[in-house]
Amino acid sequence: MVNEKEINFFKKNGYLIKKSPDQISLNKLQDFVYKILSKKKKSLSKDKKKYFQSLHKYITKKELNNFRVNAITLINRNKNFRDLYYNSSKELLDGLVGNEIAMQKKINLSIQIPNDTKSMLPMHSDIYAGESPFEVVVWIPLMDVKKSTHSMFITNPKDNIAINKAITKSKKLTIIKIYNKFKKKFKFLKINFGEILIFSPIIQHGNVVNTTKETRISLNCRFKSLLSPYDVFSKTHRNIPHFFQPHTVKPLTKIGFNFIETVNKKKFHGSL
Amino acid sequence: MKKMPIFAGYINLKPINGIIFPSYAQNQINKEYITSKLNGEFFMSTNENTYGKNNIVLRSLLEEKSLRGICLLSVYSLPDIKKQREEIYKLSLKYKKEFHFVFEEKFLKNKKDISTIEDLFIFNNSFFTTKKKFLNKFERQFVNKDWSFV
Repeated sequence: MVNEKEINFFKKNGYLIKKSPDQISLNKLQDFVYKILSKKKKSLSKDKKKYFQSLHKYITKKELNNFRVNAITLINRNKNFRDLYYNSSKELLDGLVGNEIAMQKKINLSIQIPNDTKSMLPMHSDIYAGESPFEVVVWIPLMDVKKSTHSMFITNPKDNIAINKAITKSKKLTIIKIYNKFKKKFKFLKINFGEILIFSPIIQHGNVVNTTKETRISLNCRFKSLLSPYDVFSKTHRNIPHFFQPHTVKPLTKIGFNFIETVNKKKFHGSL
Repeated sequence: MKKMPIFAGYINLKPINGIIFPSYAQNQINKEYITSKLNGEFFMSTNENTYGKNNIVLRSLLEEKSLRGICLLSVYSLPDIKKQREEIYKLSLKYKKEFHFVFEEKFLKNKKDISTIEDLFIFNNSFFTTKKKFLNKFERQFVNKDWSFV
């Protein structure tokens, strides 16, 4: 259960980190990713966390993108992976979003090897790309992530207001200049394996070059309440069936929509 | 050597939740799905007649003997009218043809699959497809500056 204190933390910070009560699902997610990665790049260590941390020793920067794309394809081919993902974050989703859920069609895998300049994701808010303000990102580390460039950075709702204004109104500054101007307003998050990070992608976030000596591997996927708006202010592809997939649909939702459809078709309602 | 099953692409130039995919893009998406996911042989995609309301191209593909099935971008590429869809389902079962829907990654092979596909038509309702720009009186009661993130 998400308690009031945690909801207030989310309100103030735009994110929440909490230990998942479903460690079995998390372990299965980690196992699956370990299996597909180590099949391509043989592991010298049976310790999954150690293997992930030292993945850069098995792979070159040049190979990384294909390696990641192949892994993402395999992850998304496995239907059970989606259920494990949802189950591992269900408690947080129930508390912050709802229990009737639309889930992003594609689960993403992020591999940040040390000093890789090509996997950077500069500061951004997902709403700029037409995503719904009703959604959250569920970010799952597959190892312990340090509070440094090893992790992702995020600001808070209060500072986000000023940064958003600068991004949407500035005629001279670039994204990188705005990021540098507000750099102190961002923090890197420490998250251990076993914990889930959930955040509103309205809030500016991103990552920089990983200057630590360890690779970071994490998963991310977006969720929203099935019955909340999809296309807000602009009509894009961030909807069903392009971007989201209904994950849990309650019987009364089916009954209600079918009722409207039937009444409209048969026109037996007095007000029609 | 085992003969590869042949699947045809089907193109319909109507919007799928607001987006009209050009025919060349639909053709490419169908082709990729048929060859990679279905491990089948691609039979050139055909455009539905945009002037008729009789789904003539879809019905014709269903009667094409050489085909195992038809690949469509989405379940929403099927006719919008339920009665017409039911006719199409009936034909697909009669001619033992499969339907494969790329975006939903679903298929229709047997009678029992029909309800899975029909359930998805809920999401073609304007509730899910209309752009949201304003709040109504009821929704405005939830507005509270403390929750303003922008």
